[in-house]
Amino acid sequence: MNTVTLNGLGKSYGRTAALCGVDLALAPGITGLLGPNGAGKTTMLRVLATALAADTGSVRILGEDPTTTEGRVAVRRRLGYVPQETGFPRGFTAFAFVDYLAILKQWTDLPTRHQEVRRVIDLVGLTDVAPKRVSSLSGGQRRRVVLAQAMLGHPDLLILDEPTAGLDPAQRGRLRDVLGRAGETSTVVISTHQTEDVAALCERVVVLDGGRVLFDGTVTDMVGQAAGRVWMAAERDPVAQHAWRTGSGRFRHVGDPPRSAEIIEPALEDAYLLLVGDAARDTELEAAS
Amino acid sequence: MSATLSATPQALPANGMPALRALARVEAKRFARHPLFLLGVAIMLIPMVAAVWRHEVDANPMVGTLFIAFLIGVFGFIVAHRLTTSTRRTRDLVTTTPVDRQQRTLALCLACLVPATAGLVVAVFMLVTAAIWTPVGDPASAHVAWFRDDSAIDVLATLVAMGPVAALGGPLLGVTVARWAPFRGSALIGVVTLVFLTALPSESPSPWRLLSAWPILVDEHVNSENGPVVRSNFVPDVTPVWALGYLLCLCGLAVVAALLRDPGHRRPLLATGLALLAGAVGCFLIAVS
Repeated sequence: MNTVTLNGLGKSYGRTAALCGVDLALAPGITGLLGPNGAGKTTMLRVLATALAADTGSVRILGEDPTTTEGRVAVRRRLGYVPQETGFPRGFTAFAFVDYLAILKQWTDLPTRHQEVRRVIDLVGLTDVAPKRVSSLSGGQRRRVVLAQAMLGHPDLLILDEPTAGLDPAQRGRLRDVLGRAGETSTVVISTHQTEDVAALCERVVVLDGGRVLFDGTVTDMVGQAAGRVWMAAERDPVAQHAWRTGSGRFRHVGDPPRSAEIIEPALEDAYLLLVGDAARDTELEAAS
Repeated sequence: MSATLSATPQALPANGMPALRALARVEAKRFARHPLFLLGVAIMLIPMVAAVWRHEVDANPMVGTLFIAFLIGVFGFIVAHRLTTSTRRTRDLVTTTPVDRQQRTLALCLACLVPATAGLVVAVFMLVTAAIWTPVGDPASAHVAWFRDDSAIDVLATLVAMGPVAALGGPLLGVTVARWAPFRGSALIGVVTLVFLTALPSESPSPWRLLSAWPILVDEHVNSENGPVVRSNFVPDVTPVWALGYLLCLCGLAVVAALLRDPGHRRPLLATGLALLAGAVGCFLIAVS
């Protein structure tokens, strides 16, 4: 059963169209959202998080219509959201900040609320720094404070805009564990530039570019699209869309390979580069014709 | 990060009242712990302790209320403004919670009872110390309002209007200004305007001084040579009880104005606002008639 349904979703900022007729249906599980900067990922997540209203199209979230006040409140009661960037009010400790958000999420019974706040703070590994002021925490710790508030009450819909930004590899690994467990019962949408996180976590991937859906399918399907288009060579090949020198001293190429190329297994990043690169090339050709 | 995902039972309330109470408690604590509020209270403690130390009170009863109005009222304006705008940095987070901004505004208005209570405590202190060490004029036969044979109702109404109500009104205005003018520097502009609106009509002949942001309901006559109060009287042509009613209606109007920043509950708010406006006009006319 779908928990999120978007039909012809459109959103513009002045004359700039951020989303153009996006159709999407999400079910419980983890969906990765990829796309270049300005593709409309954050706008889409803000619409899903009820922070932003769509200009056109229809949105249905957790069976509710977020255009009505009652629908919005109902969605927000079952929502966890990590925005791309957020500040913190001055003077709050990590515990107090999560507790404040817990009150805003209508956790009114004090003992239950504090128990839940302690649980989510422990979940993100911040128990030791919970009494410290947020302003004294590192960027990664602050990110985890925001993540902790999103996990309050086991939300049915978890929306994460670049949750791994600023986290070290060990923290990212632990975050994957937490999100993987959350994805067993909830609908989790992760927007990120880290394709390895998507490959490691998501059963489904959606690629946005220019406010449109370029790809919607499984990670395996997306990687499969790049099969035969990634090769290694001793020298840089100018025909490749993307090429870079690897640690072994050889060059990894993504694009249309020459006949004698040494084809290798593609990764999700390769598939993403090809998808976005091909789309940009098609747009250029359309413009030229 | 630990992988503990054990469920905590969550009981979401059917309406927002418990959340409002919990939020108001948190905002009240934030107000009470704000350095500027604590500074104002600390400065005010100095003359209070000095009065107890010297076993006498200042014959000029206006000094105490002036302290309340400035150190709690004006400082409270800034504190309330800062608390209101402090969640601006976390806008995306707080706007996606079930407790909407109107409820947060109401919680902030309720938190303004903290400075009002502080002002009330000081006013009670003034009454108690004045009862113990009766203030006298110079010469002793000169009439000193508030603590002699004036009507107790008038004395209390004047004391409350110039003290605790000022301590309530300043912070409420701070919330209103922060909601309607949430830009940087609006607190400073607000304070300057507030002081200007206090100073300008306060020297006007009664009853027009009632239009001041801090109406002075007592006329002081000070010995120009040595400074002590020669005599003090209630302002003629102003009934303190109705003046108090007028000021309380203005406080209510500030709350309504702050809440009207958001679209919810427009009709009841407008009806309440009109009733308070009518009450303010009525009280003003009766007070000066």
